[in-house]
Amino acid sequence: MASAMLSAQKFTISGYVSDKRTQEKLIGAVVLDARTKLGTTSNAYGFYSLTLPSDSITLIYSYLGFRPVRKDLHLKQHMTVNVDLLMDNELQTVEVVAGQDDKIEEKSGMSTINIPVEQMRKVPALLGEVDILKVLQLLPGVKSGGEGSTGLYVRGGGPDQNLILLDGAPIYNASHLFGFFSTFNSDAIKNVELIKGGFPARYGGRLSSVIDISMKEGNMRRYNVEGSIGIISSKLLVEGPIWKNKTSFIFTARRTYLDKLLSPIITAATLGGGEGGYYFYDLNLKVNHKFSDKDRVFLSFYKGLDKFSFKTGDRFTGDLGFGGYLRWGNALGSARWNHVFTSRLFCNTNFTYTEYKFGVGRELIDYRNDTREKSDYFSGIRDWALKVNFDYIPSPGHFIKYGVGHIYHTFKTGANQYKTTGFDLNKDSLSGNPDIFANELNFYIEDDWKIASRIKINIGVHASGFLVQDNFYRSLQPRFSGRYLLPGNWSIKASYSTMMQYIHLLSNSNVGLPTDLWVPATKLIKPQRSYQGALGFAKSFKQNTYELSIEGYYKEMTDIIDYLDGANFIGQSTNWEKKVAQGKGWSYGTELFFQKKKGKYTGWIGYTLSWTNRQFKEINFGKVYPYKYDRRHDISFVNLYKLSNKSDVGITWVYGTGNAISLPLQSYQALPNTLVTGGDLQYYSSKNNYRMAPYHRLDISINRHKKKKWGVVTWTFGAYNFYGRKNPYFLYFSNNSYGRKQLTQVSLFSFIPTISYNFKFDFRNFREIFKDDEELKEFEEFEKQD
Amino acid sequence: MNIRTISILIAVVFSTGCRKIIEPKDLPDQDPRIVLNCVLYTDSLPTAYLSVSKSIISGKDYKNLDNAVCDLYEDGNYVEKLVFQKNGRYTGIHKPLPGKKYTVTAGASGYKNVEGSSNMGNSVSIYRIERYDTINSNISLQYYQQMTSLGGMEKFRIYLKDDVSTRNYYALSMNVLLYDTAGNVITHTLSVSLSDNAGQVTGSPTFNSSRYSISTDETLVNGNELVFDVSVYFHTEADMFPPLGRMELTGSVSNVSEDYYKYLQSANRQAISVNSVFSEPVIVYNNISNGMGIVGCFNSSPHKLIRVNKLR
Repeated sequence: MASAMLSAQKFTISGYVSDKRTQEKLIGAVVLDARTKLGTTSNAYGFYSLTLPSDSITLIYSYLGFRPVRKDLHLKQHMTVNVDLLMDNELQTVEVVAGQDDKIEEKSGMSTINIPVEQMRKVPALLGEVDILKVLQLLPGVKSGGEGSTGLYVRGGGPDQNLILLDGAPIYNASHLFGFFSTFNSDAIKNVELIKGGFPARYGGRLSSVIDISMKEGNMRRYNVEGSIGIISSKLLVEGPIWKNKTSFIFTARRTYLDKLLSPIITAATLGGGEGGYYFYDLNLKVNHKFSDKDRVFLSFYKGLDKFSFKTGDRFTGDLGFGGYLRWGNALGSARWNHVFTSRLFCNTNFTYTEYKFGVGRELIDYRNDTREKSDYFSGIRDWALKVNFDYIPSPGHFIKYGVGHIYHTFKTGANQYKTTGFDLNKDSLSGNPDIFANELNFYIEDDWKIASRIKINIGVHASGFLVQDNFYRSLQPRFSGRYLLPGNWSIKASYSTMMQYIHLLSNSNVGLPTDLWVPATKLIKPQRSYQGALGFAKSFKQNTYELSIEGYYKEMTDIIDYLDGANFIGQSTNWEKKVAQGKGWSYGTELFFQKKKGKYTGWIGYTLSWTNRQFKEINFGKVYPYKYDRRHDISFVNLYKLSNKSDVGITWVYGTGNAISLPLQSYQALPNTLVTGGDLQYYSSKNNYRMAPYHRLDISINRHKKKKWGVVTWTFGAYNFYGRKNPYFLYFSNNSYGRKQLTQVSLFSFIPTISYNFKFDFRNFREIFKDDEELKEFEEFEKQD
Repeated sequence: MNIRTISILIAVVFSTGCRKIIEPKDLPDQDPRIVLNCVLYTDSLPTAYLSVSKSIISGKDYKNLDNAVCDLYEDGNYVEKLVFQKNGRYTGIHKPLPGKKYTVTAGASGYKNVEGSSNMGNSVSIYRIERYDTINSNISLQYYQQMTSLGGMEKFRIYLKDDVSTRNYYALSMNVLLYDTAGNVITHTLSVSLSDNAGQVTGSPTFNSSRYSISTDETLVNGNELVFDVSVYFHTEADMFPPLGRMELTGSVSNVSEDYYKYLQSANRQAISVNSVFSEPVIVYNNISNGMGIVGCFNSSPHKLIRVNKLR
């Protein structure tokens, strides 16, 4: 009788799933009871919770690229089981063994892609600078802006509609070097997840995508130093325990040295009278401390800066000097506290600070009388945010997430400072637009609910409000996604989501110039909203080695903004509301994604067939026109192959229909006495009437690894745009040497060779990692195989 | 490898970008088309201007069409053939009427026939004019270093009622005439500032002979009373003015067809911004099928005399 009662009872087994070598928590690890086939996955902090009937159970813990672990347990009370999984030899990261990882057809979500960071690092990169945002551009449904740009255009949306989160804090300008590189140092990244539709209720505030990036936590067990020396930049990573198995840190730094390299050229070109240069750097620091199995604290910091400056003349070469600068960057801080209330209730409290600043200035120096005249312009956005999120896992059939958040925004929409020194009367004045303050609130609840063995849904609602300048906007955003399992490892999936965005980006360029200005919804300018539905099929093959998904989607966006015809970008912060129009946009298409995830050869093919249009009452006379990035065909082919334990090769090929731009094709006489300025008129059949030539490119890279006594060295050789395709970057009219007007296409990068040197010190002390001799022996066997 | 060598390598890498000239044959939509420009006034005989467009990269001059056939239709019925005068100008003899739809067609050998239509609105009546802010309103002559300067300012408020039953566009015009003591008109330049009560239309108005005009969209007033604030600033100099007699200010508000309004707005916006690389491109409104240009209507109300100044 007692035995029967016990078997009817349910108990919860919970804990963390970690990487054995580093103690990094594994996100999305699968925990499955082999007998009942009931299971769960670890959350963003590696925590899992599984409630099962009291019985003898066999749990299989697995994660892509790691050896599965089996635990035989007798469940008769709530239990805490922390599990460490062992990654395959680090040199074999491209070749990963098959495990019982999460199959695509079984997930309730759709339009979500998670590419392992190790795999991203193998993808050929411009100037050898591995860039996670550029790898995301190789995925279906995601388009790049222009040559070399990190801008993301997801399912017809704009670059401002992507919520880019670094450890839960939003990054407002994710680009360095005018958009050629992203702000993310790939060495510091643990996990990247892209969601382009079927948004879970926990995300909000942007229309088109969520890019959730988690930084590494820092090795709890040993010190590790990695670095690379490339053509334009070098990187360094240091991580290790502060208090073994309790506290760890990770620090990364990256800096370009174009300023140092170009300095001799500039000095020579100006006969010694000029200085100038450009550099960017970024720093990441993260510290985490484990107070107990129930409490853990993470502190993350990020600081990045780009600076372009020039100066001409000095007191030795002339009487007058002139200088200027352009500077922009992000600063970010995040403090997170994980607390396990019960084995079924996990809480994360996140307090974040994020700031994006832009500044431009000039200085005029008269050396004759030592006077200086300086003017600066500043703009930016600053957020303070507090979020409290709960994961409640009452049973294997439900994974409930709920939470509340508040963001306090400060929009700095442009201020000028004018300063003079050395004159009879020193002057220091400040003018411009006053800061705009806004409060954004949100609440969400969602449930990942397995209704039956074949049916699983994720249903939820996201509610938000925005208070700005005595206006209050609010919205209730339903979210749904679900799957129905079909025979033969197929599933049919559907999703619907509504999103609301209370901020807009005034962008003066499509190549990510830092002068972009974030502005709030105001009394005149409404928040933007989107409605998106998708339907698709998914299937995995051969023990999840291959993955196929086909999705069709339709997305409509309302109250998006665009500049009015003739609006001048200069002085955009003044009366900006009168320079823009609000209208709608829509996008629809089909995406195909076929991926090989395991084995010596990995990679994917992505294909998107899509249409994207815009319609504004005040633009193009109210007629529909194609979005600049309306790309009918978009193909990416990514191939990563491990030739041997010492070398691997990466080849990517991309193709995209040319961008749509407004180009006058004819000119004609105006009605007499009509034009203020006189002259003739240029004829455009409509906005974005001309298609630039298609874009295609082949990139190649080869990595050669060599083991040293102190660690591993990797030489990377590669080529960007291997066959030197002259892809259009922009077009312009000019006069040739005979004075005749001509149209010129400018291509940015032709064939660019790449070489970089990467090193990784290895301070491993296996004895410290593996307390159990048997485990150590097993690991050493792996090493020998290599 | 010293730093100079590395620098040169970097320079080589970044100079690999290149330029390519796009040939005219690779550009779409390059066939010349008939350009038909015709605005019909209720107080003038119909006049159309016909020319031919050219490729944006053509260095040739514009060609006027002197051998075209240009016809005028009223509410779909043939009215008359516009007769060629010179330099692509064609005129008729029938004055357009309010409330009618006019269509102009044109054809010439080697080009596709073109056609454009527009509706002539009803006339607008000004029901009140007020002079205000007279503190600075004083027109005077000043003499400084042998130069004669005419300076001063006039401010008026012109009232009319928007007809809510139709979609209306208005143009405010000011005529400023200076006479000498013998009654002859003196050539001069002046600046005029106009605005509407919605505060949406301001800036420099178009100058046409002595008439300054600015147009506004009825959606701004939507059936309400429309008020134009008119400020006329005078400042003009001449070595020697003839003996000044008087100045006349007259104003009128006209009903502009939607087509013509859109054309005026967009054409001027393009003209102003075309050379700025920081500006969005402007598409000029075009209601000519198979061609380019505009057919519009302009119903001028009788001019109202606003002020006569006797100048000292």
